[in-house]
Amino acid sequence: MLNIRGLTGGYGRATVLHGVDLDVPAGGVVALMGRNGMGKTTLLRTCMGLLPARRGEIRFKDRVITGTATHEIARQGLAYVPQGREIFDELSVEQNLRLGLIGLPGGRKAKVPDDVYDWFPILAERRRQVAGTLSGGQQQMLAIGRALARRPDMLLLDEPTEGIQPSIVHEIAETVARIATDAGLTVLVVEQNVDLVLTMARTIAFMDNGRVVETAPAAAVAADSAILARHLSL
Amino acid sequence: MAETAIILLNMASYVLVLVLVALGLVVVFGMMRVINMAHGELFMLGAYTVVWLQSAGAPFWLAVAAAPVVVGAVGLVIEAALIRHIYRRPLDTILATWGLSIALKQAVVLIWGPASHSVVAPMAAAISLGEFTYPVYRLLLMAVAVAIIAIVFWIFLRTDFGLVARAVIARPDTAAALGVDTRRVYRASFVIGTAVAGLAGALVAPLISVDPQMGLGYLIPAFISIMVGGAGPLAGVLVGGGLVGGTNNLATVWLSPVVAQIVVFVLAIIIIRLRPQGLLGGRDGA
Repeated sequence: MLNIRGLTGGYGRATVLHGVDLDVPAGGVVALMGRNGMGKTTLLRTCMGLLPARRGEIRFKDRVITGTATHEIARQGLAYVPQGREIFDELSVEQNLRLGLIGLPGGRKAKVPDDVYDWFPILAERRRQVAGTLSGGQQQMLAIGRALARRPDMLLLDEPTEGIQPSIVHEIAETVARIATDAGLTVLVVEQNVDLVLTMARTIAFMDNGRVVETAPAAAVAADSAILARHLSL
Repeated sequence: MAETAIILLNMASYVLVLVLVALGLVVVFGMMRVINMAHGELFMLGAYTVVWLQSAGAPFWLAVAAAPVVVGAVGLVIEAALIRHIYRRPLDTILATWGLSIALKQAVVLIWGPASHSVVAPMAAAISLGEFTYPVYRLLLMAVAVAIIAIVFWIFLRTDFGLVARAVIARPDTAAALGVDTRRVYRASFVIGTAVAGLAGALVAPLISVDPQMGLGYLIPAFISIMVGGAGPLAGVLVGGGLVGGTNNLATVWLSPVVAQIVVFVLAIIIIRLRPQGLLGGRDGA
């Protein structure tokens, strides 16, 4: 689904990614872990076309998307939930969800699919509420629901548990895992929370200094704490 | 009594034209962080469109209706040739659009000369109520201005285009990641802003002297209105325009134009000192 080869990039003159290789197979849930500043968020933003790729190649559904405009990448079926959720605080829950659709060609008449409300019933309940008044966890559900409203093939999820109550973290992890199974969604999630990663992901890729240095099945990581210690301890 | 009513009506028509000018400016700034120093010249081009079409024999109202189309088309060219290269770089936009403003002014001087033109008022009729008489044209101007302001608010607050535009204003990257072609939204908003400025210039043409310097007289109060009202919510323009335009106009009538300028600037400085984001500032979006 997503194949990254030798990707180099960063912000302005600062190079953050030093030749990333990563494959996310269709229907797979891959978690990207690593210490802060190792380039996880940069990698997602570069996949989305929000940062330029300097060298290397990103293929999505076997089409090269390096150099493609962000909205075109989105229209090809790649969705992105940024760090910090980035919901539109002053708009209602429903308007936020509709924004997941109406930017697309012919999307003005499209309705928010019922699936989104089934996955996150709280959003149906709060449909008319101003999004900024939701709790952190509900805002995260809204951001994910908004990204899924147009039924993308793949979701890039950046730190979904940042600033969210632990009780809701697990709920979100289980919902995303269920959606991946039910809807055949491919997911690449950047996350620090080991619990969540082991709940959701089948494969874990570890980043260090702008490279993917090790990839392991989630089961192997769960069984061998040395792997986590090697990549996450300071 | 009648005199006071006339002063207040004149003030209202000035404020409404000012709000029309400021609306285009604030949309372009709020969305693309472009400080458009040439906005006054787009207003000027609206007035010259009327001069041009009227001299070619077109009726006044047709010329007024053509002004937003002509100026909107000019806006489209400016967007494609200049503005799209400097989005989100406020300082560069000041220099680039300042240069553009000089170029537009000189183009007008080359075509129509530096002297002022007068546009024939479409109707000389006045409404009389006892000792109170008032030109019908000014009342019509106010009605049209209110309608246009309402339409612009409706576009940005009630339509899907407006929803997308507000999303782009608040979070451009996230909007793009949701599939929004932000460039197209920028372009459409810029053209709406310029078309409204052109219409404002056309409407006010019969009331003021149409000359190459006319834009500045509206651009500066429009900028001050935005600073006073706040650049975030669109309604800030109404508050700022009302306060700045009203004060300017009344102080001009009751005191003198020079004192009016001083009063407006002092007022603006005090408000901006107390509320740096403007009266309605500090809030995003609508």
